Amino acid sequence: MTKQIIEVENLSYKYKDATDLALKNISFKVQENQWLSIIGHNGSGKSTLSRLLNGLLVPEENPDTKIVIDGLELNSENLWKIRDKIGIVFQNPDNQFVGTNVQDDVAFGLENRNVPRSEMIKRVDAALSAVGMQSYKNAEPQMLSGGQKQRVAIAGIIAIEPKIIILDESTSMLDPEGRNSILKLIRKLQQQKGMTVISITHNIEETLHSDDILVLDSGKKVAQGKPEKIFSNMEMIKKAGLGLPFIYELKQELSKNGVEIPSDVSTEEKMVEYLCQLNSKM
Amino acid sequence: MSKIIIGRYIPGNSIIYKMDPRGKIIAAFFFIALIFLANNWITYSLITLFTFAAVFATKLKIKTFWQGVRPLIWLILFTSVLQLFFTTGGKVYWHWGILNISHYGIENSIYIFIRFVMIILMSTVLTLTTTPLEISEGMEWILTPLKYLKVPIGQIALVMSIALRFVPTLMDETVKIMNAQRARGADFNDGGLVKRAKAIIPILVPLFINSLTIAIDLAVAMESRGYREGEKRSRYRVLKWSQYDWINFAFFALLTVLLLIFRNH
Repeated sequence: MTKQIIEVENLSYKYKDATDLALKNISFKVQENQWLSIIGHNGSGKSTLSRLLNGLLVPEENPDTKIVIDGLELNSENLWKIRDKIGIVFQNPDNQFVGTNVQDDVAFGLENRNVPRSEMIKRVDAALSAVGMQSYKNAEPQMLSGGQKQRVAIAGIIAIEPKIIILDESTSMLDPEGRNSILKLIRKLQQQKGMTVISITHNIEETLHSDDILVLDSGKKVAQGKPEKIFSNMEMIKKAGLGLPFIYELKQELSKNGVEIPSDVSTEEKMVEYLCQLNSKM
Repeated sequence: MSKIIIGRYIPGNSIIYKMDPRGKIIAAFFFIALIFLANNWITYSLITLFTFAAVFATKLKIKTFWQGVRPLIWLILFTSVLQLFFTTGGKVYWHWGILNISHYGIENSIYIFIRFVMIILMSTVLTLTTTPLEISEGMEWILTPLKYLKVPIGQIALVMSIALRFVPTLMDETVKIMNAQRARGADFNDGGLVKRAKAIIPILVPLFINSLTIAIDLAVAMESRGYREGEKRSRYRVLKWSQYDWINFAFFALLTVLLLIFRNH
């Protein structure tokens, strides 16, 4: 039985001076150790949602609104405890690098929590080797690539040992190689440390491996479910202003031509395998 | 821009690099005070020798130091010349209206010249061998007593280190903006002073806006990583005294004693 780690009820948010709500009455749940992808077009409220979860933004006043993280309700009293549980990797690799070099940056979150220095040294080393950046300990940010900087940002987060890691379009400024290596790293950490991952992304292909997908459109939740379920609902996806992943697009084109692919074929590898089998049968 | 040597760090590996920034900063300030102990040829020679010894100990090219002094050389010469013409006393060699060249005048103008050059050389030794971050950390330590006057030293130090961290980032931004404008026909290298100054404005405006965006992003990232203003924070970077600092202080003590002995000679 998996534990419920995030529970959000009736969450709304309006930016100052805006006329419309950025988020309208959102409710959803996330199970521990799952990978949830949040997708939606620009301005659908994806990033706003992530910032509400760790109290960077304060939701609209409403007695029915509830945000519960790992059993703790988000309020001004619990705010800092909740920030210990959630780490966010932001979009721009440069603008979240606080330290003057790699190890200083990883230590930043620990310094904020007043962790003793001897403990910090151990945790910084462990976090850096977990992301494969130990040989860059003294490197300054301008010597690193975007992907390396994001690795450092991830190290800074896992040094705090949070239960939840939020990727707020963390790979959108990286080249394909950097993106893949970051996603692989997060997947490894998710399995090793039992972390829950919330990935906010533009890239539809990235969501294929997730356990759960939440679709947002103009601040409203339109769907939540497994990738197979979400991507078989063409109409909803089109309406939300999104495209289908290549694999589902292919499935559709094939079915138009009379080749039906079973719904459990949901990744590129499985598709290749299935088509090869189909071919040998014919 | 790269010609200006004041405040620039050059990586190196000599003893002076291994000294603690706190010790170096204190020594540099102490040196300025010491220089006023000098009052005759022997003491000024001692100061000069000591400074040159420090310059050589950095193992950097002498040319680098000359680049440090050069921008100020006219100011120094001007001050020396004023001393030369307006100081009276001793034997008068030349005299015209209120101007005169006297024995004291010559002596004083040379002393002033030495004083200025030695102070610049010594502070160049400090800045060439110490990174800006180290200097800011050293200053933080030296200013720690101000905490009791409710001065937020920790926050000021963090602001300094972030500012230093973002210098290269903003440099990159500037280059990007300039290239974008060059691509659209902007010309930064031609024309008179006014035209060039005007060409700077279209760079500054986007740069300013970009730096605000960076600042907002950074503030959000810092807060989500648990930064709380005014809260007690532990420190990852620590400064450590080493034997080199004691050697440094021993030399300064020796210089002080020698100056005190010879100034009354």
